[in-house]
Amino acid sequence: MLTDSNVLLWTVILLLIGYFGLVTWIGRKGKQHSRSMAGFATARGKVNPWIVGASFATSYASANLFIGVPGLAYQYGTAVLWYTLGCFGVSWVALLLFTKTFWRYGKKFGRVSTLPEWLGKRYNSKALQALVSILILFNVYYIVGQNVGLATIFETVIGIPYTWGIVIGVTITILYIGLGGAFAQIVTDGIQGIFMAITSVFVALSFLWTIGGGWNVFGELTSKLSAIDSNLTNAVASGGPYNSVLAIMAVQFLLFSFVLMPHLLNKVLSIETEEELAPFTLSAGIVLCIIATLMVLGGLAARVLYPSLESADAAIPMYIIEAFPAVIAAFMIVGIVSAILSSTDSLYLGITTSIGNDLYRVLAPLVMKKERSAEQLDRQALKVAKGALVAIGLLSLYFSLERPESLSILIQFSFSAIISGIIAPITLGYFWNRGNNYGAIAALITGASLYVLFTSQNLIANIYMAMFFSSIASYLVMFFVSTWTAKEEAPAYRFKKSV
Amino acid sequence: MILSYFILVTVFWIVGLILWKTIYVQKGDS
Repeated sequence: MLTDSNVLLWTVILLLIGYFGLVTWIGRKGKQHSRSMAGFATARGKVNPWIVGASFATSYASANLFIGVPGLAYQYGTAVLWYTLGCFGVSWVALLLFTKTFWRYGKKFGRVSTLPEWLGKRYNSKALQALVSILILFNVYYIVGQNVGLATIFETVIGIPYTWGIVIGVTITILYIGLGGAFAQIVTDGIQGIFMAITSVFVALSFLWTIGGGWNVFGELTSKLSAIDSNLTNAVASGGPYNSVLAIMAVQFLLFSFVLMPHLLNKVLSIETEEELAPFTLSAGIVLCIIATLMVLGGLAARVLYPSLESADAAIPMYIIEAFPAVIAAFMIVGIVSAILSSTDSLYLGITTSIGNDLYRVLAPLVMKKERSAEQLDRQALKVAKGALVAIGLLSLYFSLERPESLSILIQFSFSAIISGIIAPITLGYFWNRGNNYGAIAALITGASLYVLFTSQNLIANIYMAMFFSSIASYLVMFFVSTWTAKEEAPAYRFKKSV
Repeated sequence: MILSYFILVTVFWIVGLILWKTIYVQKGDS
């Protein structure tokens, strides 16, 4: 525990109780929208597009951006700014480029609730749909990272033991997703976005009194960092994950692809009309800019003010507690907790709807003897999704009990594995008419397996580079297999692009 | 480095807004 302040402790506890009460109430309100699989998964047309955009940004920012990345900045200095620059700039540009086509395809295919379903329909392949939904299970590690972030905050600020922090976080998230589905998740994310934006702006403003230097506050911060270690102000760090130009470019590639993550692309499927895509994408950009680019600076300031912290991940909690009066610090801590929860709930929703919609709905008709109507199947898929919520929660709880070495690396490992598998089928699905289901399946298996091989066998130590090379291999495999099968068999294998 | 960071953030804003207007704002909209 970093503080003995009773005011801080009780304000945080009261705010958390109020906050959890609010999200549970919204969850109950959302119950009426989550009676069908489509309503549970996307709440299409039920939420204002400005709020859906904010929800995209808040789901994007997680324990990684609010605790992990400032921790990396604390360790490696300004080179980490390449990461957050990409989180806003590169990811927003990617969102702008992908959204319209993705949405139009979704509309054309009819009722599309998840990314695996989108891919399944794009390539006319149920096998691909089921395989992508299995790949999405990697997101359990992403959830574990969020659980760890949450428990770290509870432990350092409130003094709740690590294990209990995990149990409380998992229970609350399951409760309100189970009650409200996508509706609750998108609306609460909108509220969380406001908390997170205020927290980020406060951290940046606080440099005026913690670092000093008036208008030259960032110059002052740079010179103080340089006085500790000149490597801390380099554009390319001498150690860590941002130690070469190639690694930094691979990070940008990762962040460009990151918007393809199923729990983020699901937001696009929540939009009802094409006109609503404009407020959605602008709102996502504005909120993402504020919450992605500022918090990392707190890690740099913490390095100047508290250079000998035991754990780099404690940089932000420590900075907030020391830089602000107890009541404001309490609000900001709740802001960070909400940042973590907003990602966790999207991730749960992404995995569980995928299990219900893409695994159960696809596999059940193959193994069941009795014929089921589409409506019956939909109801059962929803039941499976809600049941999976509890199962995934317990699984993530089990994995979280042993604290991982690095929160940020664990999170980035999980999403890099998924992206390595899906990047080629999605992007080539847009731009290349000849990409077919054989190519897509081969690319998915190649990308994901190579990534796991590279990282588990330590063949490529840098996770960004591992993802980059796996993705390149995946593109090549998709190109050759699609071209080969189209030539060898018949033109019928080709998907005719009709949008 | 930190100032360059904010300059690059601004550059991405401009690029993003141009893209946004081109792709999402229909002709005739304000």
